Amino acid sequence: MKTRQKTVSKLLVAGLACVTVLVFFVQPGMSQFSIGGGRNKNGISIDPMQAFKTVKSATEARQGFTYAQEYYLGRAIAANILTEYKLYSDPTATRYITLVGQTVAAHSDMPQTYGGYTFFILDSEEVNAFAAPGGIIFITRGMLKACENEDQLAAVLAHEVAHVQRQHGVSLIKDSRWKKFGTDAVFLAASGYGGGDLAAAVGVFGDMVKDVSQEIMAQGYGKKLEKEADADAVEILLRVGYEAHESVALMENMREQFVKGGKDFSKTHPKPKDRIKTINKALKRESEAADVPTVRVTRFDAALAGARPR
Amino acid sequence: MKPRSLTHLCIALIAMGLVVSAYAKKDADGENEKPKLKPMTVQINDAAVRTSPSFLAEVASVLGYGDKVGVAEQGEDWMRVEADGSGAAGWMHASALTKKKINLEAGDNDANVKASEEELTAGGRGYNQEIENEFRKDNQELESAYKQLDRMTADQAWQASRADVIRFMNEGGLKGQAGGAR
Repeated sequence: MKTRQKTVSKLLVAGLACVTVLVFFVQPGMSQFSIGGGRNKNGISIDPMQAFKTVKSATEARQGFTYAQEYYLGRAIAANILTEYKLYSDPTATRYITLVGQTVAAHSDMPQTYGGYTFFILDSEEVNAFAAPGGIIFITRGMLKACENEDQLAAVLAHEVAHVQRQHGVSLIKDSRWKKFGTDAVFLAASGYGGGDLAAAVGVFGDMVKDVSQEIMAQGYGKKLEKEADADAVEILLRVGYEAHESVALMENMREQFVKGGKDFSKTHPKPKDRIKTINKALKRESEAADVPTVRVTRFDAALAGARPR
Repeated sequence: MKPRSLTHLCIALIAMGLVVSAYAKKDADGENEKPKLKPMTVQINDAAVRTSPSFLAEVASVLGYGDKVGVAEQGEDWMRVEADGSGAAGWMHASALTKKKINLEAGDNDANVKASEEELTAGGRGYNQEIENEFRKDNQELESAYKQLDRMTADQAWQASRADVIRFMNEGGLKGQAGGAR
């Protein structure tokens, strides 16, 4: 009888061990099963085990912003820029900046965007360039004039592509917008699951458009982000094979035109002297500056003859 | 408790344990048999799948927003993938892919039941288009600029194919870095 009891105890221990194993194996999977169900205040059925938070923090909401959403934001910002500036639509010039721009974009850290990169010339003597989120890039005729050759033009476009690849535009959106974007009603409307409050989502979208448009046209991205874009641009130019030292030459040209408190680039970018410092730092490991091959001067001159104001 | 019923209880527990262990083992084996490719989702439109990890490499096929792929090999910037369904295989730039699941069609309530936070964050194309439409109605002053944008984007002069870029680089003496984008 005693032996039997021992066996029983042994069996009991073994059994408990198996139950422990059972619990161990099954528990992690439990969260996959939906227990019950619920509806939030918008009447959307949600799984209580995986329910999203009703209100997201600004950071969480920003992380939830997709490339598709950035594309639509960029279009609206581009539309704003096109109401402030006239488009210059000479096909030869446009074709040329498109080729330089696409070459540069292909060598960036984001060679493709949701809607692709597009490059436009603005009919303005202002020396300026803009990048709308998602890859719609603008360069003024004034800036084309400030450039002396293809490599300098590539430097400007690479700087704008850098703003796109780092999503600098999105970073200009105020926290208060992200908090609204992160509310249940807006997030649902913008997420594609249906439900939510479309009008509220459109309102937040409009506020975001305003934030970014005003900043990039009036203030620029700020010193820190401009510095990042300058350093990235050098990296991109080196990958393509452009003479990255031409960025410095371009800055020197712009330095001569730089007027403190003046309009255009001088208002939206750090001082050329500081930008040259950033560029030289990024160029440090590179060999001596070399001349730009003639072909990249002649095709630049030929394509942009009409676009560069005299 | 009588020893006999104790024995029965133990046997029942052991049996249960064995069944569960076998089930768990089967599950584990199932995963071992076929190494699962890491699932990811395409987060851009017209995403190129290339024959080698370079932006200048030939395009083997093109995937769309929301298409699902399995990652077979992961580099720093390029991933070797196999597309779910079509089985198209090749290299994609990492920036074109996301771990988030993307819901394409709005309004399907069945989908909501299983929607995790990750999925909800990834917006569908339809709804964003709807937001743009509403925004345009409210901002008529932008309408001609929007139309101009659409017209220009559709224009061939604003497009450059991979072949165009390669020819342009060659003519300009631009060698490019092996591997294209880093």
